[in-house]
Amino acid sequence: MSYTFKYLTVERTGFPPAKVPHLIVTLVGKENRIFNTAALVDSGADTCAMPKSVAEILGFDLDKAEETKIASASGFLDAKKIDVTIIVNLMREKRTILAPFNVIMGDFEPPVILGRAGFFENFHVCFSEKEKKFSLKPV
Amino acid sequence: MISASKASNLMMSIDLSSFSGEWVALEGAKIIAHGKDLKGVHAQLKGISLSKILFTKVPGSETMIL
Repeated sequence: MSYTFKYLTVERTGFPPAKVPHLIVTLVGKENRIFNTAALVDSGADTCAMPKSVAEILGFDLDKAEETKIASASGFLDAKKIDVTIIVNLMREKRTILAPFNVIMGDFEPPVILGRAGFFENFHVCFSEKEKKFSLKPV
Repeated sequence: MISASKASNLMMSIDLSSFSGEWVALEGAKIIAHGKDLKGVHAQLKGISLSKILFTKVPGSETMIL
């Protein structure tokens, strides 16, 4: 079964409305700490990512996590590697995925990003940019 | 457990335009905390179970290319 989601639209003063593909997910961290969030569904992201603040709320000890670098449009960012459980509660089924995440260190706080490795490989994902919606079909 | 479709529809029924670039914590259709950084928003929720809270980063005025 395929599930369709409209882009989140936010009006902005002096700018065109922001329209972004988002998916409500639950992230599960240490000692079953949870973080429900509207995550950005990003086909251009190699992996999933989250800001440091989310990883800390989830109880991860980032001092012990493996260091890495990730490339962004603004250059290379320091990051740490962790594995996080993602729960996607669709209407008729629930998907639980253990996905690798890059934790973006520093002050940059983007939304949680659902990228290809760890997330897209669990779904057929189809974007309709013209209609501002996307669909997920579990595989 | 928050349902993706229901929570999404609920969130989109709320006018978030006043919170551009901010983190917002929602309980159902009610905004219970907001702010420029997530730690600050999380701190406002001391003592509240996060199981029913939805956090979202409202798009700002920038064009995002990560």
